[in-house]
Amino acid sequence: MMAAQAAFQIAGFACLTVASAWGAAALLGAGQGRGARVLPWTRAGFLFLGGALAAGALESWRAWGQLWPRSPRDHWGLVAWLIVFAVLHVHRIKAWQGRPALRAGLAGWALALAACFLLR
Amino acid sequence: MPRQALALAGWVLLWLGLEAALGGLGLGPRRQLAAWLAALAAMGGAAALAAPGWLFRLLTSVRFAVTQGAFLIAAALLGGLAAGAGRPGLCQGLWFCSLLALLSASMLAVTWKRRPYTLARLGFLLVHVAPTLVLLGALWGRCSGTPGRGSWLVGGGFACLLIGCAWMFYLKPALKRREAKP
Repeated sequence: MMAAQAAFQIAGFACLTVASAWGAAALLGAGQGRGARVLPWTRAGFLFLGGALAAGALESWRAWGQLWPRSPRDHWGLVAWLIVFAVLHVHRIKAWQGRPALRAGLAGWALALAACFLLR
Repeated sequence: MPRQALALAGWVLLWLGLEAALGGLGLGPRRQLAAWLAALAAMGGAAALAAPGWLFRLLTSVRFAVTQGAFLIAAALLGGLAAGAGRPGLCQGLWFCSLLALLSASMLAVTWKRRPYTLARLGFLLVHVAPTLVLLGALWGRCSGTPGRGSWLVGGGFACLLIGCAWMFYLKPALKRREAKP
């Protein structure tokens, strides 16, 4: 289960990295239509990070009989998932669509990376 | 948005104060949880009776969802940093559960707003009901004193989340594309 969790988390971050690359390209003005590719990759990242959360909760229950994440990997995975949750909802606010949403996505990606790989 | 952030800060402070008062009374964890549930139900009921329209608009606002997400991220970041510094359990307090309960109420209100329910909205409904199932399962385990007890609810919640996301993001658009083909 831990292997599945790690695989899901890595896949989630890979998707978020691709989304951020498209977002950065759109912000830098490198071609039209780059921004439209951000959302599908962010959604895929949300799905994979959700899978990592589920696997982490099952592992936590099996190992300690508790569903609340005890290991740092689970906790920071939850932080990353919450960040993607917020970013996906930012894309739904009409006044923030376009460049503000792309900037929020980039900031969220940087925070999620820092949380999962630097702080834990 | 700043007003919503202030209201959320007040919400957190309120529950921090209540948690401190309950701890000062010498109540055990299970009684504290029961008192928290009763206070939450009383406050929710009072707000729903006093200003139902305002409450529904607030709970179904996307901006409010983003603000709640930002608060939860900040709380979880603080909790993680505190755990790293040798003080675990910050995110297991009643104040954090209150933020999760508010998020669940928002999700349920949004689900209610999307009536009538059709197959096209199945994914949306599953995704937005999932956090409530996870929270209920975790609370059940905590109330019963047997931590793993609500695990089927938590498992069901995660399954709803993943199936709902897959439906909403991939299956529904694929079906639409197929229908649109001549």
